[in-house]
Amino acid sequence: MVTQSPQAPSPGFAGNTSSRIVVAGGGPVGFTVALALARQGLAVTVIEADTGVCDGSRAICISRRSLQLLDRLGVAAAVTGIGLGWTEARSYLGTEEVFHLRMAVSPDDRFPPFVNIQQYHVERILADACAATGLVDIRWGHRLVGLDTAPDRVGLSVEHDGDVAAIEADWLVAADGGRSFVREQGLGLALEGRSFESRYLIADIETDIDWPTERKVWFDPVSNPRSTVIMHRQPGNVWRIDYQLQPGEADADALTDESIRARISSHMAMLGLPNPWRLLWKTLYRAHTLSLADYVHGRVLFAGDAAHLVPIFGVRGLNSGLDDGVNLAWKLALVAGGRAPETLLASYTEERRTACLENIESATKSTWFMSPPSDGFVTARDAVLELSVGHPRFRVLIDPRQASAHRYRSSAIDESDDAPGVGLPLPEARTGIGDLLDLAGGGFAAVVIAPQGAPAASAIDDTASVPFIAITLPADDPGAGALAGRPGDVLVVRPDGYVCARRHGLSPQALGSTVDALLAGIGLSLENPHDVAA
Amino acid sequence: MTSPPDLPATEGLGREGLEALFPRLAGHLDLQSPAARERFLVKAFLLLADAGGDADAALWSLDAAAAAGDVPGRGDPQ
Repeated sequence: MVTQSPQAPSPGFAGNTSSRIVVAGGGPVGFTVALALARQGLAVTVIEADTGVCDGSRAICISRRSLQLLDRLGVAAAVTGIGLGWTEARSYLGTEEVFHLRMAVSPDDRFPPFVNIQQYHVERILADACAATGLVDIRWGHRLVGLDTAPDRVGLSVEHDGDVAAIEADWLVAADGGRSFVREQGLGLALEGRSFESRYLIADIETDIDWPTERKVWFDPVSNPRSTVIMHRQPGNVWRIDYQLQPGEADADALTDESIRARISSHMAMLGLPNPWRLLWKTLYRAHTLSLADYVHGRVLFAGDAAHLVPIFGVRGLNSGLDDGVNLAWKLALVAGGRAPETLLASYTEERRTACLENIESATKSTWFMSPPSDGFVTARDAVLELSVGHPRFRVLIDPRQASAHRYRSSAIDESDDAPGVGLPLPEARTGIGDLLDLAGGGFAAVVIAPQGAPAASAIDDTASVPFIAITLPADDPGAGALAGRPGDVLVVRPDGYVCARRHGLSPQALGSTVDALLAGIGLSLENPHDVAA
Repeated sequence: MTSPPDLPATEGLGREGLEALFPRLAGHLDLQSPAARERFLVKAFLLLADAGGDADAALWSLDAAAAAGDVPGRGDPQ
């Protein structure tokens, strides 16, 4: 029997919803946290200094994993409805192609590996979804100017139209970006790591080019010798062009419209594109590999660029920030709702900082290529590029190492064995009763693999300490195949889509007890919501 | 220009090996004279290291070639 329809709301798990939660920063990460908390019935106030969504394309590449997260929040269709999917990337030395990446796709994929979409679209979609919940109070034009922390609360001073008001919160999520006020002025915390010297000029232009949506990179093109140029197509006849500046080139000079027009016109001419174009937006960029040592500081929780900065090469910035947001939100919902102890939040730092360090390791390899930090790296990079023309095996070094889902290998709340799929997101798969990700919804879920020929089913189950969606798949269902499932397997899925536990041979007849046992086995024993209410 | 060296059929260093070698080579070049940073030498180094799977021996060859200043068979290994 199927009682859970696709896109149906998932059962709430938060418990007490009276906590006062403030999110500093109305960007994509802040709105993601707010929306995920609101989906659990928690009221959230979002404070944003700007009076509306951002300008400029900014973080344009949304990964498949991020689309899955946005889908759990009910907004992926809006993103893919605007965005441009892509699966291929090409790199050129001059005009000769030296690397061609074709990312894996399959007929079962719900989403392409990447979608290009301007950040302001994503912010608007998320802000509208937040507002539609009726639980998120978005305060545009409100600037955080003071912070006072205590063990059980956070005091905020917020300026708006020249007036400063005091706000009390039980929890503060700092998603206020790379120059986080909360991090720098509020708590005086320093990011650890390094910054690269090389800079890129980033520009959005409006022009009509009939090219497919691909990532294109030119190393040392005749249009911009000794530079690297990146092009991405965006929705609405907008193209994003990033080009590396020369050492000694002053920021102010590089940012003049005259300089930008000369560099981009030269590149367009090299590509044989006489098309007229118009400059829409510009900014400067430097790569950083920086992170806080801990993302949890009492009642203040850091997410996205406020917690860490990773290079744009490999598109791991916003994509890791969205994973931060959803990882944090379900844990904070349980803690703020009185369902779990505050110690659960330690796993947020443990999981997401580990992911950040892996992102930094991978992005650093790409940055050595895209933004070489010394003469030695320039020489080695150029030698590899030239060799790659005749010796394809060297092309692996040109790989942009695009963002992919992180595996939580040793998380404190994941089972530590090597059971297939544990520590990884639930895969995209079609089942006999619908798409597996649709069936799982946005909360907890359990997948039971039944004997061949058994009926597939999906239903809300409230027999455990936390409501979950019980999905039964016969072993011959393609969804069971995607999970490498055999009869008797039970998998537990977290609200961020990660498979956190898997066992064989537990009783599917007492599934609630089985889910509780598996959650307890990974250190997640939830308080009874009725006891909390009492 | 000389012909490219005849390299033995090999799987080479593989992705991990090349990724580990790349920053090591770059750091090594930063410590050497500009002569060692000549592109053809670095390419020869990469080919030698990949073919032999021995980065240490290849680094020694790179240094020796740069120190010699005048390298027999100097050319552009492609």
